[in-house]
Amino acid sequence: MMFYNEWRYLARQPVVWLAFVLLPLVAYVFAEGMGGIDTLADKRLQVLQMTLLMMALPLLCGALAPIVFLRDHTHSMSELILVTPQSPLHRLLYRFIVMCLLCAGLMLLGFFIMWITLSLEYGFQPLLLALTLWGFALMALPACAFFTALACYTAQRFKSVVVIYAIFCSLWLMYLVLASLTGAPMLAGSSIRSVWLFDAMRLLDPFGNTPLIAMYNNIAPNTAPDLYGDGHFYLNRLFYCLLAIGLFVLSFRLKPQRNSVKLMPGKAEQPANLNRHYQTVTATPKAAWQLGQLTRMALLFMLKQRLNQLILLGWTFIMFNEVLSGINYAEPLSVISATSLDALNRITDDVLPLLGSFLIALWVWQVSWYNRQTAMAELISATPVRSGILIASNIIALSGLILLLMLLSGVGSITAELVANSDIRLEQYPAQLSKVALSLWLLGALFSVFHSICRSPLIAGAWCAGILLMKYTPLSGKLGLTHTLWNIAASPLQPADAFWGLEQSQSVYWPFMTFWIVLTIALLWLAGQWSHRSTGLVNHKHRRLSFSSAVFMLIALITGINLHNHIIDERPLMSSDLRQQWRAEYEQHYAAWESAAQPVISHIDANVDFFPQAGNAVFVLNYTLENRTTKTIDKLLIGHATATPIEQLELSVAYTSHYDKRLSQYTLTLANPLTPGSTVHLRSRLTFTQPQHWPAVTPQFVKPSFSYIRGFPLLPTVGFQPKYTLRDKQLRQRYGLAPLNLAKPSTLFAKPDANHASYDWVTLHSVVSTDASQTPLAQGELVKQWQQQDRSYAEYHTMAPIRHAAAWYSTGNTVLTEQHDNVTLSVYSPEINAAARLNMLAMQDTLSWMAQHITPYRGSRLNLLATPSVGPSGYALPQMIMIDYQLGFLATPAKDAGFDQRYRRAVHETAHQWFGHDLGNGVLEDRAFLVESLAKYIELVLIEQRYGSQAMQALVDYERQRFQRAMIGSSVKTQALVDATEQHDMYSRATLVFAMLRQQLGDDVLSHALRLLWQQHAYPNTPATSMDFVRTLKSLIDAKQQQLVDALLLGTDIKLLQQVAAVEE
Amino acid sequence: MLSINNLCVTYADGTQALRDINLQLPTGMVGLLGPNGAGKSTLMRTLACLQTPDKGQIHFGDIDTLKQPMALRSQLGYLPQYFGVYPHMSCYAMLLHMAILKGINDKAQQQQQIETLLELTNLSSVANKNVATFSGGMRQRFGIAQALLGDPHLLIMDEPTAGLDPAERERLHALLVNISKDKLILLSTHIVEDIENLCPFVALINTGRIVESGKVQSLIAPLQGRIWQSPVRPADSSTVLSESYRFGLPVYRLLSELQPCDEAIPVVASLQDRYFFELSHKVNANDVL
Repeated sequence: MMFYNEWRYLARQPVVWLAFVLLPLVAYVFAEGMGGIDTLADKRLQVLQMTLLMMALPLLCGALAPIVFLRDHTHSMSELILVTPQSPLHRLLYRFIVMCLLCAGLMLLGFFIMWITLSLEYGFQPLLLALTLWGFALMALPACAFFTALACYTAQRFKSVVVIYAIFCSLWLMYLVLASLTGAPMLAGSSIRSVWLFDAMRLLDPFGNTPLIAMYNNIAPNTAPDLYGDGHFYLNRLFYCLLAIGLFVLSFRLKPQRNSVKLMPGKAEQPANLNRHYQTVTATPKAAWQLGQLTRMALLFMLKQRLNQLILLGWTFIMFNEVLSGINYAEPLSVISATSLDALNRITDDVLPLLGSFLIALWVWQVSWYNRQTAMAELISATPVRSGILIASNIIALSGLILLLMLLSGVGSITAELVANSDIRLEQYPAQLSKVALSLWLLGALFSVFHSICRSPLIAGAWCAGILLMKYTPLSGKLGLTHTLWNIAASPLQPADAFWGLEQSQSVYWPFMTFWIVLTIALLWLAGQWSHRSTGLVNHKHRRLSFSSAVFMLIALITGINLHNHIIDERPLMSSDLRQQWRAEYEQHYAAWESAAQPVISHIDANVDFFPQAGNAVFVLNYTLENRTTKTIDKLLIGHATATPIEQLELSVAYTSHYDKRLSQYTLTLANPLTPGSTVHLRSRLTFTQPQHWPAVTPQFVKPSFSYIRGFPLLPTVGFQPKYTLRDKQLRQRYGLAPLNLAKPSTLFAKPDANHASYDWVTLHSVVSTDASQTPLAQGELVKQWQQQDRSYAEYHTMAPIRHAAAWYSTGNTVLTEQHDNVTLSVYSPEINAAARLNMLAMQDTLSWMAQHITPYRGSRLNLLATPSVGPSGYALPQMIMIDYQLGFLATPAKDAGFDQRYRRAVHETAHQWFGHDLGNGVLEDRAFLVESLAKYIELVLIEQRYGSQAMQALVDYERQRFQRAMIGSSVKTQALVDATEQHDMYSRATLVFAMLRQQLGDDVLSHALRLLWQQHAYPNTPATSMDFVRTLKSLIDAKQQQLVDALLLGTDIKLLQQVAAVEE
Repeated sequence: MLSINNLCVTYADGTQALRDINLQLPTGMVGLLGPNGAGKSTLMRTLACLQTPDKGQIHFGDIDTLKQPMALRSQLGYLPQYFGVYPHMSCYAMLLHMAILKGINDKAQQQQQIETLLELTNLSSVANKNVATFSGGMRQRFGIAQALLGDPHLLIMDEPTAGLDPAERERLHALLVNISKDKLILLSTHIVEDIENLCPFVALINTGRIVESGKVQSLIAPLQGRIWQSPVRPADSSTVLSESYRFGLPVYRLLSELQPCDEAIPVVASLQDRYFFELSHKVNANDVL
């Protein structure tokens, strides 16, 4: 009966209902949002279970604790309840059991949702169900018991809702910090920082996650991982069961709660002075006075809240800690001499907006309902204060709090800068923090609108929670809401960097923020008219849209539509869904062209004019199209990028044209078919305009400081483009496309003659111009350079075909140029410092070694450009290398670094001139082994050559750590290295594999194999595949060594790497 | 002074809290009398523009209060049935806060009126004490003081004497009577005695309807000479208006043209008799006087 009574009470609590809505939603979002397509479903399921427990359970218990254990106290029912004929032990025990069961039930629900979600992806597996039930029984139940007992104890001990919230929030945050320090795979960037801490957590982890994670290290690939715990795990669970019992007993022994409010002593009062007469005072309500008073009261109320005092006190420390912990961090083993920009980038992009948003939600809740919470709402509402003034006072108070928050953030950051001896640039603070403040203010104002209009704080809170979910979880993506405006009250502004400040996305800020400001004002105006004045008594049925509100809403609507149109115009395929749909339609409409004979582009004549200040680049292109087939060609398929139409398109022969605007494809029908061996010229003109409502992204952007245009996918293409084909099995099924043969390279090219691909190489002639203050760059030899009409011009010409991956640049004039044999090497960077010279050295070393051991560089010129932090940290195109300015030019090796990341990266990207742009292209079905994995081999060789074997070993150790860390978190089945698609395989595992091969076979054998590969497959021969390398290598070694090569390159047993590592050590 | 026509309020759950209320209230003190849940507080809140009706009109003087709520609020003093106070604030600071919101901007005027009200409500000695620590009666007196701030022409007081001791209750009565000359003071209570003592005009409300309204004497007059009091229940229980106790002994108030039993003696009719008559007879049996 008592249980039933407890359930009846809980079933009527909105928080419980909210938990039943939110927790399954969170479970679903986690299950949908984490991991990828893989076959280790059980491991993924367990990681999901761990994530749900650690992310949800403490908060759930914190939310439930007051309504279960403090309800008598908070609702002044203590005396009524305490006098009932029920023993305190029974009362507490019933409540403990009911809350524990409720938490456990919710967790079970979450676990089942995760199981169902995974079953939909991988099919029903009894093992997954068993793991779900096991996880519930041994992970969730003890954790629920422990946290419930803790809730019971804290409620008995402190009798304060605020203290309980603070304790459970702190526990939640502390656990997240500990988890990130102990290598929890579900937290990005997590690693085992302390073995001691990790070992301690194996026993002390309240969820039992750490002992399970410890076992992931021992999972052998392709075998059923042991996910059911070891001795540590069971000991841990037993400990928490006992701790739960102990806490419960302890809480029962605490003294029963008493009223905390002490009423004034009932001393005899003096009789009233009845001689005094009531005198009226003429009231003349003035909005400014009322606003000032209400604002002052709201601010005082907020600042007097214990919880807020606690948060504000901790805020500076959180910001200080966040900045200091990574102010000098560039990348692993690499540091920077920090400036205020780096310090602020640590907080203004994630911590501050994220925590700030949640804090704003709390504050708006508090400030909007404090009149009702203190039962003052009717008194205040009956005064002659306009609703708008009531809302405005809340907004102004909120603004004050936001300013205080920014001030505290700034203080925390500057203090950290002082401690870290950073280059303090005070002007950065108002510039960056004001942007965060405006976003938070808008969010707060929107929340205020909900709280002013919705009569129920819970409904208003649910709206606010919905906005936060849309902003900060993958939910909007999962719901297909990918429009940039779903990032509510914000803009796609990107962090500033040392290369070009905010130039990447400065243009997006005000268009977006203007819309949000207009919308917020319109909604605030509406709220002023529809407000329930914090009483919650207004009848919704009588709300009518006034003329003024309608006008404001109309203005907001027009602003929104205008912004949306700009966004769409600049990037029609803005979401992945739209892009997938386009690709599917492209294949459906034009797949037949794949087998149709089409000419190839053999030469490109390009006139490229950059206008960096205006943000555009004009292309006039002349393609030489050559019929290399044995058939005559009467139709050409010419495609172009959807956002950049071709302004002019003409052939050198007679033709008719049909344009498919939807898919951006021209079908040109030739009057006289193109005979085998003959050529035709295709002339086109187009203008790339830098989007103003999107941040600049690679591979095309034109900005005042730096411009980069890669030909693909901007320039016209000829024939069907297999690159556009959807390769995901499920996506193909969804769009009704026939399955593709996606066999792995090790299977597809198992036989030497299986590859019939050919190279797609062209010669390139470019005349490039830009502003006089910049240098125009293109691939090929510099033919001439001149100034004309205040513009810089340069003419480049490739002496021989290069891989068809043309690119043009406009960059600063500061350059370091050196001649290396017959190759002109240039490093373009804002400053020519030691790092620029180190990059030059890396290029020279790589060119020398490759020329000596494999084959010389094909071109006569190689440029390395420092780039802003947009796109990958390093990227190579034929004769062009781009390296992130921060990592490649500003960073220096950390004290504990055994090798120099700058040198390593420059070598790696230079090596792509061979691995990727000489060999390793032309075979679409092959994967990244010939490109990335072999570039890792060159890293090993050259670091050893330049810095010695110790540095090389440091690189191996670093990659081994990266690989092990990635394997702990990975739920992807391990593949053969030549088939690998995972980053940690292509890079880290490749490094370990080649370290072993060097050790076992020696560099002579490896370089000999590469030389042979070049001899057999270099342009214009048949392109090489990864399997060609394996075969070539095996042809040079004995049977035992062949077994090793098979195991390392074609096998999936990574234990072999661990064994060898152990031998090395 | 206050005209209410066809006023209806329905809550979201379908409860009809007010049904077609029509009232014309004069200046002075007006009592709103009704049992718990009759709709008194809903009517009060609607008159104070805190709640919007489904239909109907309310005019206070020349003000259409539904269209011009701010005009009414500037003349309104309001004491709700339940109210709280901000934490960490003294009684004086709370009154100052309310004074500013009501539009008393002159500091001298603020001080003078607040001090007067503190004295009138016997709170001067605790003016600087945290109002959150006040006992129920003291807090109620603070509520009365804040309602009197400014120059309210319409005072709406929902159960103003709740929690007051007899002396304070009398004091409040005196104050209200003194200030009611040029104001409309709408007093809602289920304590009939209060209304009988204070209000020349009364409206009886039950189940969301005004069942009777008018001058108190005119409501009592039809009962004069027909009210009897008896220590024993008469054989015909339909004559019983109310049953109460005095010194632990039952006292029956009876309505009858003739002596209903031997023990019954004739007594002077009171508003309470009319109130019980309305509750027990008119509503249920369509009895009329």
